[in-house]
Amino acid sequence: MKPFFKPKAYFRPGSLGKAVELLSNFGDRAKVLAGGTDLLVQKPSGAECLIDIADLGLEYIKEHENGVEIGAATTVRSIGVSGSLSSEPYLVLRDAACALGTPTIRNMATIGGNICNASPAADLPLALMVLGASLTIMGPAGKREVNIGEFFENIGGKNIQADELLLSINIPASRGRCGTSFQKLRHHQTSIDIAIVNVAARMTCEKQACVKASIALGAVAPTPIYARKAEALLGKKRPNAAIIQEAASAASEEVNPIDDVRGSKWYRKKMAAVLVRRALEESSRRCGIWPE
Amino acid sequence: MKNEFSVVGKSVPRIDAYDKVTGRARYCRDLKLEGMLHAKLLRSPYPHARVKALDVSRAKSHPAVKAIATIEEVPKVVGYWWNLRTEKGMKKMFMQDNVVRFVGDPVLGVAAEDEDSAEEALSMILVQYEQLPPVFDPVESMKDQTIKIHERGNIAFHVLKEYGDIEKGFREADFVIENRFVTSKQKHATIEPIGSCIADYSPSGKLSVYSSTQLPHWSRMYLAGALGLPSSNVRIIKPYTGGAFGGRCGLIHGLELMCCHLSKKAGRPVKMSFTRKEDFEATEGRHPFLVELRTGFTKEGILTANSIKIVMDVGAYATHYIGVIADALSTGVGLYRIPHVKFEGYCVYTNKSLNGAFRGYGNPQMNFAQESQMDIVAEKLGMDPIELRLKNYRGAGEIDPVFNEKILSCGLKECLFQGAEKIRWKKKSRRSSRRGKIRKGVGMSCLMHGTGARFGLPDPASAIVLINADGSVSLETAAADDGQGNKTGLVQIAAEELGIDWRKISVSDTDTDTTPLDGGTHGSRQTYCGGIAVRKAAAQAKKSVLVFASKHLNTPQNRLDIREGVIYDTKRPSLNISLADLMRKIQIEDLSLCEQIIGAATGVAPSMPPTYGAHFAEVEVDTETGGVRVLRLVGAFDVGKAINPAHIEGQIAGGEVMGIGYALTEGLVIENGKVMNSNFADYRIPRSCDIPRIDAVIVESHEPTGPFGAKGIGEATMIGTASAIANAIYDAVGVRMKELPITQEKILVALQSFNPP
Ligand SMILES: Cc1cc2nc3c(=O)[nH]c(=O)nc-3n(C[C@H](O)[C@H](O)[C@H](O)COP(=O)(O)OP(=O)(O)OC[C@H]3O[C@@H](n4cnc5c(N)ncnc54)[C@H](O)[C@@H]3O)c2cc1C
Repeated sequence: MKPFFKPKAYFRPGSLGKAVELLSNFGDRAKVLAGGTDLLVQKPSGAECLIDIADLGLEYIKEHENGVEIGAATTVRSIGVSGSLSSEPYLVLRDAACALGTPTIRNMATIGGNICNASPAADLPLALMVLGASLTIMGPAGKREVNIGEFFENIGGKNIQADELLLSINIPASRGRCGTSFQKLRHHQTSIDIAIVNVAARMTCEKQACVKASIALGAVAPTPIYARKAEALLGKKRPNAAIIQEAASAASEEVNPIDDVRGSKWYRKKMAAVLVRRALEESSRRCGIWPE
Repeated sequence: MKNEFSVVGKSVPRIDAYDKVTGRARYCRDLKLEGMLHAKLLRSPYPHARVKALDVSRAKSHPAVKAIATIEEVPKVVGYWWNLRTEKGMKKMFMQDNVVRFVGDPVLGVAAEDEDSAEEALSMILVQYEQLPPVFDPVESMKDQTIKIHERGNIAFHVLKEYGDIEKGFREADFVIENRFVTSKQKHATIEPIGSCIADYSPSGKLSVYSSTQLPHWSRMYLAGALGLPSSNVRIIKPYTGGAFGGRCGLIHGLELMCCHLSKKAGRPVKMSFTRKEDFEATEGRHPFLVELRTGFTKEGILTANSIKIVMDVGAYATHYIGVIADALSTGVGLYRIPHVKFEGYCVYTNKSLNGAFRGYGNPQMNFAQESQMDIVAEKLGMDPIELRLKNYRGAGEIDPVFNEKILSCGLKECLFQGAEKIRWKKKSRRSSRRGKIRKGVGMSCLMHGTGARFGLPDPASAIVLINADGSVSLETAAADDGQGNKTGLVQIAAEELGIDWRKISVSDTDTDTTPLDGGTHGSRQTYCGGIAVRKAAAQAKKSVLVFASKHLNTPQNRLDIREGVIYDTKRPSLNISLADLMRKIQIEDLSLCEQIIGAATGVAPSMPPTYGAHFAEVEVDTETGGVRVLRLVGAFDVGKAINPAHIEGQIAGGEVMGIGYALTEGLVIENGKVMNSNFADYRIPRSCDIPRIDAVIVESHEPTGPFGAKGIGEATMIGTASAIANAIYDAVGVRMKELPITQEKILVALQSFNPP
């Protein structure tokens, strides 16, 4: 790997129109630059020019009656400290933001970059998955909406073209009482490590029962995944230790991790169960239905 | 005692702080010489191979390429300054053949107008290798008769030492325990990657080398020997250095000598800087050890016998191996008063990048084994681990069996007491809290580490003190400062001895053309060895000053002293003259004199005093994931005398942090000879936000041979951290971790909450 990354050109468009025009002119040879914490580390060889999205007004968190809208260029730090995200169901997103990287990384890293980098171990997409978020993407043909669950394809693959720009993330308001949780296990237990397993969970409750559960896991498959079987086991019951343990075990059967220097397949599978259990316990606690 | 000193014992700011904080400090990588070329290495993709043929014709025709030097022309430098003692030994330092012995072993170097062209030229070179079978495991390598990494076999060195009668020792024991410990290959992970130099070989025969080496004078001799030059023609200039920790304790494999050859060929200065990846893959690391201990002890907790067997992985070439195993010996035999000890060590070659000097030398490895073993002994006896140490440690007045020297200062007991007090050892409910998913535990360890190398290696130190006409002082020393601040410490020592303001003293650059012989910055030696030389030189200069002053003030010399830059009569203080006034008189004003005061000292330190210390750790273990969080560390060290307490505290904090990494996360993962974690994402050192509260306790036992009572500190601070953390983990969850690094996955396997595959 070259120590230096020397793209030929750098643009900082002031309008969305200009940005999309540049993207369609350069196509594959251009790369969108947000915080650069992935891009400048990866130094992709084909990237001849960088299009910086800092001046497009994409840095915001807006509350409205149907939920929350977050601009793609909003930093991870802003998400972690935002007052708009300090109550359920958004705690899962706030907690994921606080668990991403280190303070210096969080100051630069953006939510859009975290999604578009499409790493199977990324933290924020899991939270967005259990929140049922959708993405607004703009290209030469205009805007389109994609559900976050349909965004990731294979390893590093994503449902966005070289000439498209992610504009915002839309999180629907919750109907009913919610409890969420974000759990992360780092490879070396040091603050900067990315996850060897991470989990987001959300429960919607009525009275003492869980009426809907959503569980997403990262770093245990080529893309972030939902643990559908585990979710089904929780349906319409009051969660207790046995049910939660059963769901956790089911989730660890749904994953397909790899063996590498960061952790063995065996360990990752075991940890998937532990983290799902902890996430479900915390979600039900935040719902007010735990401990039994 | 304390108030006697004017500047010794005070935390004066670093003399290099301003330059470093403002970015004015220039490191080797920042330097540029007129007409300088840039070099890159072609490195072997195979762990073991013979270079059969090299086709460099296409690369040579690259317009930007100015020189190529191959494995057939440039020798490899092995061994260390032990070899310099004889001409025969020195010849052995330079190996020349066409075999590559690890993935990353240099095959050739290309010097070009810029780095990109050098790299481009590398891709135009064709190498024909004959692959040879590799061996990676040292135990296999020892046994293997078919694969020879070096002609003389795979065992670089074997040592067997016996003290007392080991069998008798075991007969006297009530209990005998046996354990096996394994340690990892840690990297120095210096803030400035290891491997940067500029060589400027002038056709006149003068060679200047800018290198961030810890050993300017030894490096000069190595290069002079390799190139057949008189030492006086080789000049080593050491710029600011971003940390060394032993990683620059010699010539860097493939670096300086290659640049010299390329520069000679091209007739221009040549610079080469390794990338972090190259540093991880192809420079020295800490020797992994396999340690087998068999220890006998009585019911009362008296150690009677210890059998120590070590297999040490040297890597592909042997540089510091003998010294490293000797340090393991010194700690294994010296720390505790065990009457019967058998020590056997094998230093074994493998087809992996080389291992060499690293903070603590062989001590952290040995300490991890020994101090874990002590914890096991204490547990077996139901005895407090501190009490066990107190019963067995060797104290002042006793003879160290390895050095056969009397220990003159030992503050280990105070370290144990004060450290225990700080971490509230007695109040921490040991073992009792082993309930719940998250469990806490405390652990401790002891250590000793000799200062300098006097009893094993040539260990010179020198200094020149020049008093200028305005009363200011120039201190000339080759004592390299790698960032630990020893230049500031030396200034304090000179200022104290001379009785002047420390701000009036400036220290020379580290340059072998202008500074006298020095054994280098290693072995925690510069405050002690360098300090002794500086103090002597300053005392000599002071004496000359007082001779002149005595004449000038017309008062006997023995009544005179200097304080705050004023020479005065101790009986009649009003009779005085400022140092500046006197110096101006004798150097400038008195046309019959015109003499500068020069104090000079050179020689070896009288001893190699051990620094003692105790580490205490408090951890929290997650029994479901195996994760460990270090909650608190206390490091208590007997430094003899803290010349600059802030520096000592800095060393303690830094050493403890390095020790956390050694304990929990650091270690190169090498699969089939390839380093799998050659970056900071996968080779993990602790970050500032991972560091727990660390308390530094300074104990001052006063070493009579040291300058103002000082002895070393640098290495000691990381030696026992891993042992203390491992013992704390045991205390928390009851599993004995015998292999470094102690990853969460290993703990989980050990906890057997799950069945590993
Ligand atoms: C030391 C370190 C630690 C890290 N730790 C973590 C961690 O713990 N958890 C974690 O999840 N990640 C971690 N990361 C990864 C990284 O910080 C995050 O993924 C971050 O959110 C990326 O955001 P960015 O703004 O820096 O993206 P950039 O690097 O600017 O971009 C990333 C990718 O997304 C594309 N892109 C960015 N914005 C848009 C957009 N609006 N439209 C279209 N494409 C876009 C870019 O072209 C690029 O391909 C870490 C990185 C580092 C260097």
